[in-house]
Amino acid sequence: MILVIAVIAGLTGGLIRARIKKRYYQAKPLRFPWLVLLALIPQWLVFTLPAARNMVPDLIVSIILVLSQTVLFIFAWINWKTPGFWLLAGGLVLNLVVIMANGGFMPIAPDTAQWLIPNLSGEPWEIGERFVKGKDIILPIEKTALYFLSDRFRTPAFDLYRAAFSLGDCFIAAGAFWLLWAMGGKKYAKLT
Amino acid sequence: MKKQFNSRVALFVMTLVLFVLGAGAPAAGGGIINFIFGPLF
Repeated sequence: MILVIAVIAGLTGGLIRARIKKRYYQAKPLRFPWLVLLALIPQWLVFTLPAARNMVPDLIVSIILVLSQTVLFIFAWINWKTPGFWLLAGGLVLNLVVIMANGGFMPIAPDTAQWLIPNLSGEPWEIGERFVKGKDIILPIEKTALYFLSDRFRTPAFDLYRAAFSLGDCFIAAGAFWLLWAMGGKKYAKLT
Repeated sequence: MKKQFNSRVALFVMTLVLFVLGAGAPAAGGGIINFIFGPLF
């Protein structure tokens, strides 16, 4: 959700920018866009599809996550020259490095997990357990490799929305915003 | 006059959204928004 917000903000800002300056809102063609779909389908299966997410063993899920993100990195590398992609690729690498260093999942501290879902008070999270069958795994700070790259940042504490995110997520959000904002920029022809 | 938001832009944005969802790893939990929509990965 926090990444989707960055996309919506960049898209809205870029469209308004183009409209005010009477420019087209134009996109450069991306090379090999099907790679993204190829990477996302396995993730969708193991993290979203209810039947699969409870059946597939954690080891397989972690391998799928690492392979999927590697394919996404290849896509970002191929499209390196598109503005903002170096930020997207940088964020992806930061996430991938910390995921690989912690057994194939993004680490999250038990107190952050507790903060995310406070209703489960009294049932402490088990160390090494996956957080709501997603990309995160519960690990105490002292057992987390590269803790500074883990899901350690929190959204402002109010009850509308709670999420924890990593430094890599910040880069990805910034890259997505920049890319969509730039599409309303000077390089494109004026509206006629 | 050309449409300001054409099909190439739509494809670009859709690809970007999928990339961002796959590359990012935030964890979502509580809050009204997550209660309604579920924790988007």
